[in-house]
Amino acid sequence: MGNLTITNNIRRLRFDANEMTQKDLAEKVGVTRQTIVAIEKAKYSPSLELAILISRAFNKSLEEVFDIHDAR
Amino acid sequence: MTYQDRNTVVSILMNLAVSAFVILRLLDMNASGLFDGPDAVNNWARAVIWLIPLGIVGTIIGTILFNIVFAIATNQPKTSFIIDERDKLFERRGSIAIIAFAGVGFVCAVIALALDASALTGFNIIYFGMALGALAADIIKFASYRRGH
Repeated sequence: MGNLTITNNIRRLRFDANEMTQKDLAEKVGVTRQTIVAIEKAKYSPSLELAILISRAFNKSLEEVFDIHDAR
Repeated sequence: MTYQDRNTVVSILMNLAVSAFVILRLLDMNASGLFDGPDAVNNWARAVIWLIPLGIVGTIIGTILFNIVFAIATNQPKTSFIIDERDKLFERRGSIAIIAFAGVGFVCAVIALALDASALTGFNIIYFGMALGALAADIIKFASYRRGH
């Protein structure tokens, strides 16, 4: 469990969504732009609630936005 | 810089200013002989008690001023005041530091009193344990914001 890392496609999805800015996405889901930056860089794993909100912002399922990898 | 990040900077500055003021005030009172008699603890309490509202008011004024200066410096008239889950995570990290320092301060005070230190020494250890805890909490939050996680 400790070696699992969560990755995401947020940057690509933003690009696909008319080059949505990090600020726009942050405003849509009610967090700061810095939180979106940290999530995009996979430095911060969002709560399930926030992950669902981000997925909905792109009209995608959770699995299409986030993925989990075994880092070992 | 997020709203809470800015508040953390103000809090660090306020903690340092209040702690410096307390140290100077207590040293001055000690030099004046106010801690020599049986009223030493009462004199100490009278000096420290009004620092609580002073610290709160100072932090509120400092936060308002810092946010105004930040908005002008970054040319952002619409400053964000959002507090999100990452802010709350950093806040919890800071709270652990406060609890740890306050706990260690209390135990150190009990040990000092058991070793025949004065009640005034015991109060000072508890007070500065908590002050150090508050500063450590802010430094942990500040470092977390710089790191991003």
